[in-house]
Amino acid sequence: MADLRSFDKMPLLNAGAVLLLGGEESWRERLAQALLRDPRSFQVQIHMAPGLPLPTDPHRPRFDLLVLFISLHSPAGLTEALRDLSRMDPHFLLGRVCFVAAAGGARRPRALEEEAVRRLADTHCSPLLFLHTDSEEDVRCVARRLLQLLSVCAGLVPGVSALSLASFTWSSTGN
Amino acid sequence: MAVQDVRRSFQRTRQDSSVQQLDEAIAYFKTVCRNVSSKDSLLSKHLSAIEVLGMQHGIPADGIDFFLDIALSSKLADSVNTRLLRSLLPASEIPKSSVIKGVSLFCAGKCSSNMKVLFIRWLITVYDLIPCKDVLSSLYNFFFIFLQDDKLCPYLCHLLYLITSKDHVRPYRVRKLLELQNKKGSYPPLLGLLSIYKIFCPEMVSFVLPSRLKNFFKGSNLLWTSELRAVVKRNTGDPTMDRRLFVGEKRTAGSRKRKWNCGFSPPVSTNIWSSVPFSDNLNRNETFPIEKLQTFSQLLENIHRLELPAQMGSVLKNPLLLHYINCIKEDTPFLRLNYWLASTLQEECAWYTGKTCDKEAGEFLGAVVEMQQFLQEGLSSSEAFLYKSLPHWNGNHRTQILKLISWIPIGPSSELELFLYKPLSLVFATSSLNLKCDILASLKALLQNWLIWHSVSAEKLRADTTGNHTMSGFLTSVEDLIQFTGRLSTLALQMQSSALLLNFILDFYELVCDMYVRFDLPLVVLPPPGVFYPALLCTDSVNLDHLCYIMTRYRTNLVTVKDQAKHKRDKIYMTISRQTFEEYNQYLATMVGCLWTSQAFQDTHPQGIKLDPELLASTGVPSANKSFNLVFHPALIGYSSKFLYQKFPEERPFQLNLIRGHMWNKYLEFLYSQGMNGLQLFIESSVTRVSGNTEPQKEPIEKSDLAAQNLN
Repeated sequence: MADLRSFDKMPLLNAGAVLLLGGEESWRERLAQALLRDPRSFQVQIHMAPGLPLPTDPHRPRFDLLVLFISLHSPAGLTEALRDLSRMDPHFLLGRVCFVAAAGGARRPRALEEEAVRRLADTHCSPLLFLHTDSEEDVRCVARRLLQLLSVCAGLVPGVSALSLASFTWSSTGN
Repeated sequence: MAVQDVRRSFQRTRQDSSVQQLDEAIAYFKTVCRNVSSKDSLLSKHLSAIEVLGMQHGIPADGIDFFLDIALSSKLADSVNTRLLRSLLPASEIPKSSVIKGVSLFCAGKCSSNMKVLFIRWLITVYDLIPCKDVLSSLYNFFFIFLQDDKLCPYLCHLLYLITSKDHVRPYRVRKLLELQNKKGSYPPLLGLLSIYKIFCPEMVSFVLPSRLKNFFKGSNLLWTSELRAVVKRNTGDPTMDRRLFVGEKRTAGSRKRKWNCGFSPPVSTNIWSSVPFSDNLNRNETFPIEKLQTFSQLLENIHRLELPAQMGSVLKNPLLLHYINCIKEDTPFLRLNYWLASTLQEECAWYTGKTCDKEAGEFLGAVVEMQQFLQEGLSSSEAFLYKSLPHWNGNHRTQILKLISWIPIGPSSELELFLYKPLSLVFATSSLNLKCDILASLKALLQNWLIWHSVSAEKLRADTTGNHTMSGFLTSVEDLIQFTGRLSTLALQMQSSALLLNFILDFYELVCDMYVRFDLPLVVLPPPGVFYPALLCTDSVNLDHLCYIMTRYRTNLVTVKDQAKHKRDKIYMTISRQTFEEYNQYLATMVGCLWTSQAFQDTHPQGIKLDPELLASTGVPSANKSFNLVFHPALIGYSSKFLYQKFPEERPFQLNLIRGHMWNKYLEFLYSQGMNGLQLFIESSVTRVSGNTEPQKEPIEKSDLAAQNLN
């Protein structure tokens, strides 16, 4: 099974494909539902997997955006994310990867320091969002943010590319 | 009487059976003998009746008084006493006498240590239902002495933490606490008590508190929070219930630990004083009871003898007390408010720690916003809260968070960059058009607040000899904020070309362009090309007019800079760099070239709209250079068509080219009459018309006035 390629297929017409990776299954599903529920002007294709590599499937579309869940409750969250990162085309890291650090339930103990997750996202020059899966509102807001990101990554916003957006969020802070 | 009120309401809701049970239980406990077995069936029947009544409706005040006496006097077995005290959930306020009686029994040492612990926990839990806190305050020493007791210590620390006011902080107490602290090491409850001492008298407690520790007291100190809340909620639902409990606010009680039950504390106590004539009261008491404070004139008369409430949270919604905090010279109230706010925000609104934050948290944030608006000042605690929560912010509680952002106090640029600009730019990049507009509006409000703050404190800064440092720091922060907003605006206009968005961006620059004249700030920052060009080539007249107005104001500001530099030769006025003038002139030349002299596409700006003449000719567009002048500009073509139709209603081929010569002047007047005031100001200030209306056939050829250009 090969690594996930970024440019081996033609893009979809007026549509964006997003791959949700890692984390807990229920979280991926809730986010996917929220993504589909939000009103938007383009089609969204959502694929979900617990991790890379994916089984071979010729009908799989070209992914415009990879969403990497990192569970703040699991001590292995970081290593899983790193493993997935090593199995994808590095071109994805030019603005088409988004980390989502997720936590659900105030009672559940946290195994990961937020700082470590932030460092991971920083070293991979990718945005990091925080998701609190308990709150319906929060899931909806994160879905909305991801859709904005997806529309840029899928090339649906003329004049702005995924890379230019990533470099903007990077350069606007001076580092 | 409260008890009768309670009873009446019980009867009305057909719950008199439980009241009857209570009466029976009281009668039983009056006669019960000392050595009754704890397994006695009659006893356990009455106990469970009290428990049920307590958990469902609360125990009325006289019942509390009676059972407190029974439970603490150790007449019965300990297990019975424990059950009894645990079910004493008050239905209304607890009278002063009961508290005093309870504490005296507690001090008498008749009851076991477990009962003592339970009693203190009970006191902490019902703290908000004790109307007159000075009872506890006068008993301060009794509690303090028991701190020696290891078992009681954590609970007493919590209770003292709630009671302590400034008067209680005395050197001998601080010494005692530090001694205990040395003995016990880093002991959270003691640290909590010390922290409140430190807030009142920082000079007495030199001890450094660990900043990471915030929760000094465990929630387990409280007996029943949800039940009490439920009882209060149920009781508020009934209008015939004890009125005193629910005077003023409709807010239901939250958890006790957070001191944010402003519905309880100050308004509740009003009737305590009603038995004494008002004037008597004033003569007898040094301090003016804040419950009596109703009008502004009262505040003015008694400002010297006000004492702030034990619960700082009650200040939040009381404008008079906020006035007081605002004008008083002492730092303590402000420090206390800040401290209280920091811990409450952390406890109640920190969704980023995984707590579920509901509507109540939003309401609270709203109250904080209102308070800051009232004080016209951002508090450092809400700033710290924002910095912690912004990386986690996905857009919930949007209005409140954005308003909090606009009250961030001005700080060093590097800090703002790390904590505000970085997370905000990510939020902005992934936000909808609507949120983008809101963020820009809140950044405008932030800048405005900074500028107003500066103009208010400018006098102070000038008088200060070290003022220059502060001034340059302030200028850097302001400039960075403007540049940051410029970058956000550029990105936003790249992603979405929307008239609404442009309107918000230009609103921001309307404030920026006037900083020199309006706020006396030696700073002129021009919009980046990514904002200027989209605004110049926009398709709606409102924004074009707005841009014209802004450019005129920039001009006024720059001319003032030049004038003052000539006259005053003051160093501070020379800080506007030559580059700014040059850039402004380039923008101006482009604008005049596009709108007036029909010389579009000859821009000299590196990011300007420049096209080779051959390339332009190859497009085949007739007279392409004219395409952005006042007649053909996409934002104005509607006006020119309307004008032409009014002038030549029967003209066969519709030719906009007809608008020239004296028609051009008529057209200008027409535009002005349509409300294009910005355009009028711009043309009147920036365009000097050398060849007037003498040649009607020729298009007016005017020279733009680049007066600001030749500045040395």
